[in-house]
Amino acid sequence: MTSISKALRNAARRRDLLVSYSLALILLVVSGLITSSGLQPNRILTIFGQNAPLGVAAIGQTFVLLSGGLDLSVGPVINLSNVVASEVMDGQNGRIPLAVAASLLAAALVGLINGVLVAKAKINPLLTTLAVATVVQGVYFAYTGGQPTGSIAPAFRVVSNGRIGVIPWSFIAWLLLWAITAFLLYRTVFGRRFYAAGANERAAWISGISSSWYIVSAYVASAVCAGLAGLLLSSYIGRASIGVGDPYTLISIAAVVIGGTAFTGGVGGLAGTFAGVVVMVFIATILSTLNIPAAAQFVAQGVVIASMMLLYNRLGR
Amino acid sequence: MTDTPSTSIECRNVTKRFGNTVAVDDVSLRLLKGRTTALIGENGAGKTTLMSVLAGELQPDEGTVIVEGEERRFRSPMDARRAGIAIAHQELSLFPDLTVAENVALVREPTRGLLVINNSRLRASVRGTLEFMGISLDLDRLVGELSPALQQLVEIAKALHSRPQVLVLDEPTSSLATQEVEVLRDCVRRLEDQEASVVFVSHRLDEVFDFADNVCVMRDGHLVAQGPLAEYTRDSLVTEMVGREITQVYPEREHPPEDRPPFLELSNVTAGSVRDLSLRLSPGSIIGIGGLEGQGQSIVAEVVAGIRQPEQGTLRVAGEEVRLRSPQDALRHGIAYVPPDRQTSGLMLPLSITKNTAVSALRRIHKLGLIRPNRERSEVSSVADQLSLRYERLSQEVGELSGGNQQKVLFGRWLLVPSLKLLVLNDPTRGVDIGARAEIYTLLRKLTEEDVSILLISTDLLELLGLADLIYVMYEGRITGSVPREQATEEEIMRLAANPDGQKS
Amino acid sequence: MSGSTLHNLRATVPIWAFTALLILVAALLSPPFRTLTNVTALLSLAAPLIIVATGQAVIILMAGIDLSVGSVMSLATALAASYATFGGSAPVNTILILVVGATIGALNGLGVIAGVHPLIMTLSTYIAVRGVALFVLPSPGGEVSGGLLQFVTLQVGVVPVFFIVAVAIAVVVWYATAESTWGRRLYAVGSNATNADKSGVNRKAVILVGFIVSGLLASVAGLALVGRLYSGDPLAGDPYTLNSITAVVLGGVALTGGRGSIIGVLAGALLVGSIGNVLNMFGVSSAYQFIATGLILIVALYAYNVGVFRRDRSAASAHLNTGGGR
Repeated sequence: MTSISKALRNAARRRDLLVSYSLALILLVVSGLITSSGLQPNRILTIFGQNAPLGVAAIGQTFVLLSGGLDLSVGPVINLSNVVASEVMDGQNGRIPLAVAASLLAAALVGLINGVLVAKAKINPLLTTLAVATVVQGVYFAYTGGQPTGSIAPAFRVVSNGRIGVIPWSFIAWLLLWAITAFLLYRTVFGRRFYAAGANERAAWISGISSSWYIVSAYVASAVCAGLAGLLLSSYIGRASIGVGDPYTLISIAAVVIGGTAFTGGVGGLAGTFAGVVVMVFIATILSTLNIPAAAQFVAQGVVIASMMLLYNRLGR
Repeated sequence: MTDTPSTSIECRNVTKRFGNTVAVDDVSLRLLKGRTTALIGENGAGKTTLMSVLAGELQPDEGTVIVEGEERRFRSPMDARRAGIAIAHQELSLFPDLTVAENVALVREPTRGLLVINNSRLRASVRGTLEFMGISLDLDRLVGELSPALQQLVEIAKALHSRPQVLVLDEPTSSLATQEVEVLRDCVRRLEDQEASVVFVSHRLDEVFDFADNVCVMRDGHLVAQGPLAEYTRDSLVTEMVGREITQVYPEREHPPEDRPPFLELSNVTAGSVRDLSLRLSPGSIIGIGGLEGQGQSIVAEVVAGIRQPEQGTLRVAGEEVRLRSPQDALRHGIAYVPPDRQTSGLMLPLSITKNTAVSALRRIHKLGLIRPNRERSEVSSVADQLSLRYERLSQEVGELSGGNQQKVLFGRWLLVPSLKLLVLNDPTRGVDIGARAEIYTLLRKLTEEDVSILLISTDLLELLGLADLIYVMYEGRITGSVPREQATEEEIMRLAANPDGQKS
Repeated sequence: MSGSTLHNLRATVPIWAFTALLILVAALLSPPFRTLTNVTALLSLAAPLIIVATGQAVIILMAGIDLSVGSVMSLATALAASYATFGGSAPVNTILILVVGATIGALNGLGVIAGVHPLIMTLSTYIAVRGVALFVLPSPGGEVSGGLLQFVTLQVGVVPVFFIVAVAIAVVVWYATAESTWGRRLYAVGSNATNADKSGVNRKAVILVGFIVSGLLASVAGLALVGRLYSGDPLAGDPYTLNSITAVVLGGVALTGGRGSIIGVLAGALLVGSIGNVLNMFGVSSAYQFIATGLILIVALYAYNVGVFRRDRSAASAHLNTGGGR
């Protein structure tokens, strides 16, 4: 068990994790206190389940920030995945595998385009992903004419409705994804090289790593995660709904940044992102419990992001 | 030199720390009006740091600066400028997208009204400064388009433009040819006539004797000697700089190099400013490339390292013609590169010592692609011991280490690659203290004993003279000569470096 | 004029040529394009973009970025459409809008000075200001004061007055960046922040003024937008963030800062506006316009990258606090 205690010791040195998890815990508790029976595990697990799409999208976004970039196409890719899944599935259970494959493939394609433009054509990630996002939006708007068709098969809705014991399927999916990506990042040579390429692409290249391909993989990962998030969302809403993914772009970035991952690259990780997601989710929960209008939620989000960054600056992170 | 000159500016007990490293340790020195003081010392001795404190760019942790008898605290470079101190930086502080005139006059632009720049007066004043320096430049050239030598002159002009009482020249001649150095010397004389104090920070001892009246020697952050230059000889200065007999720094070669077929051969390579260059490197030997800064040496290094492709010419490694399209390619042939800018191109600053050191040996250390932290740690730890690396924990961020230790990490990276055959080093000991340097040199010798070749690019003449079996000298992209160890002297290298007879490109 | 100004101006010739060519070709090929009504439509479309792109250019010139401009524009329209609550009269309402814009800019500037990366800081303001706009005006509509409406829709013959205002703003800000002491320091900070510090530039003052200008201009652009919408819309400014960045990049201002001219950005904004106008005219649905805008930006960026000396291209390179590369 020495590796766990060592991990805990290392974690304790990461003051940013301390801050983000403390904040997450405080918000979670506060949200529970202001609702009757608010601290029931059932309620909390339900919230986690409902917000699994954000958790999943934020995992993908983490990869991109670790690579020193930014993915502004998350929202549109979620929308794309939703539209594709809905069309292909068309309400039929038998077509679920095909629909899932089609969605993820479409997402991966977008990610590949982003990655190649950023890593090979050396175009600024902010602009690249913003431009690609615009193109993707145009694509599904044009294709559906604003009226998407099809629907999600009933069997697939299990993902959002069903549970194993008390834990929602979607939350399990989120945790599973976290486990897999964490293994990849922290326990494999791929992960080591990925961090190196993200921290300093040129230095990694000079050390013999094909850093540009690792950068590409970050964007593919982000898009696939966004595609997955889109599938989870589709399961919730049961049909295609243009624009359902829009808020996820900025919130996923906010969650990752609050979690302590800097977008200079090579710094931070998935643990912080989880805390960041919890922070964003429970701010929204608290505000809606207090009946504060959605508009104010935006203000709160903006203030939290800026404040956390100032705080991390102080901590020297 | 007439009567006793008065003090213009003084540092008293100045100390500056960066994390755990003490860059400047309790230094007190005095500058005299109308005199030039040379500030010499090895790379990493603290000269630039001390001058940065003087110029208001850094705040000292202890001690003060005294100007005309008054204690001053400079909170910014502007403060120091207003007190009459200006510095021409070693790392040029110029803007490539602004013109010569705009760079020189920056922050001191004459205005029409409050805010609008008066261009004609600006140009006139810059012309005046250039005249004082004794040079003429096209005021409207973008500085980014100038040669390194002209850029260095612009940097000096910029410092002169504020008509300072104290002018610090930090390695002002590293890119200058002989005629330009003479022009600078005349300019310094004129400044002395005007009772200004000049600090001349340099490696080049010949120039030091030429320019300066007094000398201050720094070593490892301490001021170890101070006084009139007349009281010193070249050798005594070197001993003070190095703190030990020179032979202790540069280890002797145990076995003389045998005559074997070259490991690396460049034939008629043209790339960027490098033209038709040929050289060869025998296995187990150290080949140096010297000359003024910016004459194409880095390009040669990058071609060998696979970073840059030659437009013409061939490379042969172990007799076989190769195309090195990337550092990965180069590594496959056993060629590794230590870049000059360790922080931007060498190290991953936010990552740990372990991760930085093991980064090129990951496949070998972690079988099946699964991380084995214990094996990695033990290998890195043994390399760190080999290098006498000074650190707190292997898991600490490499950005927290001192310059010398950071450089050692870069070396350590290649020690973990057993297939290493050629190590290309570009300015490897810049900003590295003398202790670490000696350790690095010992390591390099050991590597050659194990039949690893070293291509050493350096502007530090002592380093080249101390280590290399053969020194190629470059000027304007061509090799002007090659000097074997037995015949190598500072004069000979400088002669070849400053464009001798007929080597115009 | 100073040397670098001339260099930067000379570099804008290609973009002006391209824009003029595009307009010429459109005029030749399409009779509807040539009509006076369309000229007015084009100029009216371009006006807000020119203004917001000018502000964005100031920030990008100092190697930063301002993602909040879209929200500030939306907020301006929302405030204008709620003039009764905010000001009560056209002049007071207008001054309020300008002050709000400048204040948001100041907040951005202070955050960046305190060490928050401009991308994250302006992202935060983007989100927060969006909330404020939605709060002020939950859905499109509202009532704009008569006086303001009159002014923003004023025309001199075929030319909207606000277009003239927009061009005037671009020229004035160009002159300020090219020939004033503040502008010189702006270019220096953008070119190499560390060297700017060494040279004695007051980086904090430059940053603060820059962001205030950007926020102020975003407000003004919002007023121009009111002239097109005749009402308020809390989300109307959203597309302008990307469009302003596109206009700046097409106009030849490098994302890494320190190079380029606002005169080029004027051409870039006209180009983006013309493309939008042409697409509108050919009845291209907004979906395809999205695709077109995105592709144009990608192609432009790729072309600039290929033609330009390779720069560090991470998102963090648009960072005011580091000099030189990573």
